[in-house]
Amino acid sequence: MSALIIATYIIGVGVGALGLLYVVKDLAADLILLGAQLLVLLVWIALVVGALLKAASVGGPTDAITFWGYALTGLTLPIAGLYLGFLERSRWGALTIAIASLTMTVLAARLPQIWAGGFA
Amino acid sequence: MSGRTGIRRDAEHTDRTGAEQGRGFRVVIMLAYFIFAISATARSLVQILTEFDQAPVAFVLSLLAAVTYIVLAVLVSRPRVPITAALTVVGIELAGVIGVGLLSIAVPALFPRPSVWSHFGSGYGYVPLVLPIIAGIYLLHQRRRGVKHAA
Repeated sequence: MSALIIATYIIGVGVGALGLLYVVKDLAADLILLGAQLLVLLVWIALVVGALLKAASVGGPTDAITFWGYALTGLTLPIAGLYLGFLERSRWGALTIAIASLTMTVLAARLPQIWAGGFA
Repeated sequence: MSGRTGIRRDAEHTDRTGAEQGRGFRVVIMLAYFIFAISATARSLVQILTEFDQAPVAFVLSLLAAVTYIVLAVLVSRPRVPITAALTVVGIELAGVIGVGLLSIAVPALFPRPSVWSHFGSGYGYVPLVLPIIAGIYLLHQRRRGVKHAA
């Protein structure tokens, strides 16, 4: 589980950096960047599924509402990035993907703080 | 896409003229208010529904923040942003961040648990303090440019 969290950090920062590169070069989000944003979403889904499995077997977090609230919030962010990145065909669309992805890293960092046992 | 403008939109590089709606940077503001609308609403609802008696003032102020963010998320997402209305709510937001920030410092007894705008949004990297400033500057700039927005 912890390997997945670390992967989430790296992918979040990586896609954020990629998005910022697009911004600097005045490029709109193309399939590569949109695919990268999709990757952020997929890795978060994997994270949530892993957490669900862990909760089912070992018992869930004490602060369940907060934890699953974060999990759900994390699902909406890359979807918003995909939508806005596709809608706005300019560097600003790429910037939304960058911001969404970097925020995902922050969210992922918070998860083990809310439920240490889930990511030991 | 209406296709009526005759402005060739290269898929990768922007090609804006002054006549265009200029959504550009606005999507970043849309994303920011979307993120905060979701986070603040989730946080304030959870706190109010599960442990309201622990910090009622703080949680109500979080709810106020959430409502402000929801309203702004909706307003800035409109194809024609109602600039005056949006600026008014941004003003409320800024007053809220600064007011609650000051209050959380002056009367910490009201905040045994942190609120969204506690300490000027320090729990969110002070973005709640910076966001209304950026949004306000953007809206003022759009109004000055005379871009075709709703009044």
